[in-house]
Amino acid sequence: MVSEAFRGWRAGDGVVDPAGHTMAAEEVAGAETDVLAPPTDPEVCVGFRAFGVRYGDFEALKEVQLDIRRGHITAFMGPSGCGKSTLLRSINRMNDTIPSARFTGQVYLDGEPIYVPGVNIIRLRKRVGMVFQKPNPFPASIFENVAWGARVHGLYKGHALFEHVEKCLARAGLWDEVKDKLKLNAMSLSGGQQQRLCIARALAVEPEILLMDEPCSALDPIATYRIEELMRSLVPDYTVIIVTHNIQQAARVSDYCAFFWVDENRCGRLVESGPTAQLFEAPKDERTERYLAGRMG
Amino acid sequence: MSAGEAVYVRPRPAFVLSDRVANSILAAGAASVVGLAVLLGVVLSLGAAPALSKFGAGFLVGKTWDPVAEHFGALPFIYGTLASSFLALLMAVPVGLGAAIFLAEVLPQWLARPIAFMIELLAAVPSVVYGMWGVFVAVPAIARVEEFIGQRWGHIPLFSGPPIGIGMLAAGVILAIMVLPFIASISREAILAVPRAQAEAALALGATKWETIRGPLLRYARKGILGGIVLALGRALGETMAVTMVIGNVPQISVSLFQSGYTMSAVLANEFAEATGRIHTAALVEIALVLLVLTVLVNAFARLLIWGTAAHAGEERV
Repeated sequence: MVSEAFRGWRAGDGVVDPAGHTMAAEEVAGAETDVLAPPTDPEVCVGFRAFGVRYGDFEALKEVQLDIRRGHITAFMGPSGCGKSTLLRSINRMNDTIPSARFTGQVYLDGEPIYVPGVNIIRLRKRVGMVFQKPNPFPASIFENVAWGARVHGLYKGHALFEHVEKCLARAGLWDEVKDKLKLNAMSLSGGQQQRLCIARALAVEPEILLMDEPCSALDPIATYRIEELMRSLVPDYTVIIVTHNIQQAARVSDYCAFFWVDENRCGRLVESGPTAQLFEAPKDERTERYLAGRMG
Repeated sequence: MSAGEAVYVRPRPAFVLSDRVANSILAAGAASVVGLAVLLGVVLSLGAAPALSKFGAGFLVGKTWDPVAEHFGALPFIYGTLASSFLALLMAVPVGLGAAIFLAEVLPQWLARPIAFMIELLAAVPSVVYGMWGVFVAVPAIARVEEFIGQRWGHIPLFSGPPIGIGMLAAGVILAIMVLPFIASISREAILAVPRAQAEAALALGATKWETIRGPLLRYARKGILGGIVLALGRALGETMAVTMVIGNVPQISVSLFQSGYTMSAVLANEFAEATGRIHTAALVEIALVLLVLTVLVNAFARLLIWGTAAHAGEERV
């Protein structure tokens, strides 16, 4: 139901006071102030600090402590229900649209906390673009799909807008295929083309970060390959974060990996993270090792 | 062609008695619906034949309706039907669409559902009840509004005439209230049926809630909304009782909203029982025929419009 999407805009006041946050003492290791300290490394683009999400009584994700590096591709991996999509959607506060969602801890974007009252969600979402699991172009022309976001933010007008649309379509590797049919309805494109259009649409509002929620799961292998190629071409200009079920995909495209698991209460937990090569060759945790070897999950 | 060319044949369908019987019954049902529609057209044409041959195309553009002199022109009625329906849509579409958006996107659904149900109940109120309410409540209120407007802007042709409440404006208002539930409830359902992914895509681009509604949401739902408006127009064109009670029933064409008018369905209701002459009856039947053709044309046009937007949107491909 679309209407659900507009219910709760109260996430800002749903933030639990940092002082009220509870954590196991041994994990905090006597450094309670450090757990929520903003990232100091300028190379860190997004920093999760003791971050957790609840939907009503259900704890979806907790105690996530993770830094995401600027200009690289980071993959969130793990089995279904491990909270990786929830974590991804926390970065542009898309979870706000779920009325029962409550948050704890903090997410820092370029050192600034985003789960505080008074954050400009419109500006946040302009900075953090998103591509969804199923291609979801608007039922409008190809041009209009890309131009809409730029127009909403008042970025370009007239001929400059046209040039901007061309640039974004070219950046998404779609320009040559659609340059003669910009007025054609976007729904008439193939699934892979639609997904690249959605990427162009996201790029059109000039974001710094691109979130991709299993962007290839509805696509065939050839279309998947093209999206992966495109993702590699987007770094280091953009910071890309991708959620994927596909271990091979994570290995192929990502520079850094974060591996999530579901604990006994069906709550998502971050198991380990690091450079992709390191994680795949020498996983520290047994669960990571078994998952990557395809022995569970 | 080489000798090895393959021959393609269509397999003979298996004979299944129960399927054949079911097909026949269904075909009979479908045929009777089409048959009734054709019969309606034929009977009306036959009944209207004397008037058709006497007045020809002049019937549609003639402005005089004089049963005594047996001179009949239908233009005032055609104008009255179209003008009152148009006026009704002019008022009902913005209000209905606004209500639909509010119910679908702003109110929480536990509150919106009962309200939507009550709006749908409005569609079930018999039109004579609307008519009575119109005569006793709406017309006096409209008279006061007309007086107020007339004093200030009476020199504008649109607002000239006696501020008595009865007239084209009252007909438009009553019709607007009557078609409002169609527009509101169908539009609400069309907006609720838009995939959540559409709204998410817009919100993720940094659009505000209002930009999201105005843009992708309404665009996606426009086919359904258009359908609701067409249904409302169909109801307004054919509505008889309530309009007859408030429009004044004077066969004239006036640009003023305050003047009385007459509609096709109203003249049928008022005069058919008392029509004596052969030509008078035939003229009334011809009005019925014109009304039928007009409604069919409006619906066909709306169908084309909906198909057009659907084909444009390429929604069949999904």
